[in-house]
Amino acid sequence: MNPKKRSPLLFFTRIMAAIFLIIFVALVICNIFTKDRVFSEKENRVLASKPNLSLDHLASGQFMKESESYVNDQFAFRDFWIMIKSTADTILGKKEANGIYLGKNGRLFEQFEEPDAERVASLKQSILAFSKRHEKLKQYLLIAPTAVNIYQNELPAFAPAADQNAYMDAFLSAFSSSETMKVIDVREAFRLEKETNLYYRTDHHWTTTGAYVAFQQAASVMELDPSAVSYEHYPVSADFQGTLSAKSGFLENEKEALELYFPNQETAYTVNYVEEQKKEADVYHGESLKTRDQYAVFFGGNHSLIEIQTASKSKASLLVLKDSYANCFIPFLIPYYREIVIVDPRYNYDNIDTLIDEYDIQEVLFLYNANTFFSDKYLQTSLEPAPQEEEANAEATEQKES
Amino acid sequence: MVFSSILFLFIFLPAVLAVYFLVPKSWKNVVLLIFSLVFYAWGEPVYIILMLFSAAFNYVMGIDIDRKRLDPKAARNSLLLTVLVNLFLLGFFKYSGFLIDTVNQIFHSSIPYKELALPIGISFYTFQTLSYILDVYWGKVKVQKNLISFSLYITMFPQLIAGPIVRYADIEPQLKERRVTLAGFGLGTEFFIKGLAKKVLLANNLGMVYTTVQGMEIGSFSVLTAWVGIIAYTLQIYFDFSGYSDMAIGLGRMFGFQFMKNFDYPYISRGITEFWRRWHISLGSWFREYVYIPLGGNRVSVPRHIFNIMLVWMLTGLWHGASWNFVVWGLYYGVLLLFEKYVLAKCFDRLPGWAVRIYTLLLIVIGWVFFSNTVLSDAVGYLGNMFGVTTGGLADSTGLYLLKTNLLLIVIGMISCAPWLYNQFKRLLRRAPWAAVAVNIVLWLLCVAYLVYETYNPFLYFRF
Repeated sequence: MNPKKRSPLLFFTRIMAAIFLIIFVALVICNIFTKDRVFSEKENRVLASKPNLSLDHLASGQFMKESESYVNDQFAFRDFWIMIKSTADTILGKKEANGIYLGKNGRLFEQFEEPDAERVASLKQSILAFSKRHEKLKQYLLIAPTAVNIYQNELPAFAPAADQNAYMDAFLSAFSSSETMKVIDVREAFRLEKETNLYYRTDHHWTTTGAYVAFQQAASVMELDPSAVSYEHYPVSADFQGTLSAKSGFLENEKEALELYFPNQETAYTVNYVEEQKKEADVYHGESLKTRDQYAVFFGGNHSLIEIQTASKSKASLLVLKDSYANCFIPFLIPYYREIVIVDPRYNYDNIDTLIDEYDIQEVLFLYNANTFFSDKYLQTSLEPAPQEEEANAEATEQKES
Repeated sequence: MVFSSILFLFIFLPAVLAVYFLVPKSWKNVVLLIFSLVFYAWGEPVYIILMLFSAAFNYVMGIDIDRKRLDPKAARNSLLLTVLVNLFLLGFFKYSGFLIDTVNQIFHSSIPYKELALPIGISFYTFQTLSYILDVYWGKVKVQKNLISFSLYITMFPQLIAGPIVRYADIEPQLKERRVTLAGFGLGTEFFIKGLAKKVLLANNLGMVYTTVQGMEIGSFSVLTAWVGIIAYTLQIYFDFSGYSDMAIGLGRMFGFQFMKNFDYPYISRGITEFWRRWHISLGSWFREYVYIPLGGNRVSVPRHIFNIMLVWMLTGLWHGASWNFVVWGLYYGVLLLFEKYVLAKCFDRLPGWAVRIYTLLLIVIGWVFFSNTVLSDAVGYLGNMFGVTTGGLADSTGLYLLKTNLLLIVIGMISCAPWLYNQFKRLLRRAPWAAVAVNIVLWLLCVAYLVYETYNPFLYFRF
């Protein structure tokens, strides 16, 4: 090497120092001038805000912890950094993040986790007991498979996943001989319709089409006439990005369509959000389509208690115990019931027995997806028998009716 | 506070750099000291008192021992007192629970004790103060009369919480006089970025693999899963620990300090003896200097030598954590080293290099099983699982999945363990310095991206 030439090492270290300092200062300045954000649309979560400084928080280390998440969450160009990280992860061949698999054909899957056997057993017992207590009611149980079940073959190679089918089979078999509780098993129909979009690719929910296929299965079990109403469906959004991509960082640029099904024969109805004390004439919340959580277009998300009064000729009233899968399913039921009472036990702590009396319910539908159903902690509590006194009253009214 | 965090990188570091370079020379040590105390207090708001006490106490005792130079007996008494107090503090905070627990188990007693949170870095700074005190006593270094300089030696944030263990003798001149040049600063950033990348890009990602495996029930996963897990851990601990050391060396360099190399490609060693000359060098040389040689080293009878080795390695094991698995891990290395010295050394020459390397790596990997499972029976169970004592069979989908989705990472990790990759980088640097700069900047930005959106960023040395 030519000795007169400047030493590459010296050149390198000086340039390193200079560039490091420049980027450093630039980033620090950007951070000073970056405004705090309350909510990250991209990650679909509330970001940490400025921590409170107090002596207590200092001594306990609370202040330090909060500062660290604050600085991370409010770091300049956060979304850009996340994009870089996700890209690097993809290049490294990562197929899982935060419990979410990146499947083949660009589909995200929420893992089905091995449920706690004891909890499942006691949930089964309490549903059986509930069912027996309310022999006079027509009861239906719809546990929806999730994408991980129907599109198992699209999971990343060798991805370990607990067998959702086995758990569903075991659970549903307890009701196969039940006179009162009828099982709506949509899995066979879903497998047949696999080629259509039954689930969103970036979200853990089923699509409205998935819900409609499920409804057709349900109709035959619930003795409703599915041909009574015909539907037209078209997308109301083309840029839906679901929570799975938000949670995992995978498929961040994937946007998909969100479809609604509109009946050709309208049934008039009103929706009453009891806790919010709001009445509306439509189950759809168009403004949700402008937010990240577009699935909230159905009922504006989950609510503790919703009543739908319809102009249907039917005299029956239906109680739905559900999770968010029901939100896009329930609109299909509107033509068939005088009243639909929707309870989400995750937000509603009322006793179901009491509700059944209050609303004079004739039919009950349990509608959950398998993932929430097998990990749910709230349904069981709400199914406990009503407190003694009310039970006595309930018996009295039942006798009167008969 | 840890180096691998956004808060450190973009709040603490800019602040300390700015103030450090703005103040006049005579203030620089004070600035570093104050920032080091803030750095420590951030993670240990209460135990900072302990560290301050340790600094003040050893400062005073150093002067005391030095004064009694002409009276060997008095000097020895002072030394004994100092060493005992230091060891007592370390013992009290680190080992009391372990000791009482062991006594309780042996005598079926139930002496109550309160599990104390271990003050971060106590093992590192206690060893640093001991090296100072002993060297003063032996007359190897001059006593430090400047409280600021001495406290800075104990608390200096780059090496405070995860080493390297800097010997006072090595750093004494630098406490008084050191030069910061742009090139030196640049070299520091290069070291720092290299260390950060090792920690954030390699160690953290590899760590997730082993965490997954550890979440499963021992004895139930496949042989393949067990091996993928422990290999990932083997890589993780190297990149994590040597990454921290590189960051420390780099940060020191930015402020004009030169710390010794702490890791020297340990996984390419031929033999366990060589491994320990390449792994956590500052700890090995500390034990050598202050325990092994004072005990007589190898210039003693064979039985005494065996005793010396086993004692030193039991202590080395115990230094890494107050629990039996670390003792076993240390003794394991003691036995291996003796075996190598007295039996295998002759065979090594006759064996091909690759065979010796594989033998060495295998033993190291087995060692990590004991290191990473703090419950001894878990370690034995995991080891069994690796060699077929499992209901999970030879390979299952979990193992294949872990292997497939982390293969690239593991391969990159393995390549990065050997000097080859870094030599390529140095060649690039000579030919196209700009490209080398670009490599570093890209690594750095990647690290920032991973830190901003971090899901897993453990600090492994809370037991040390």
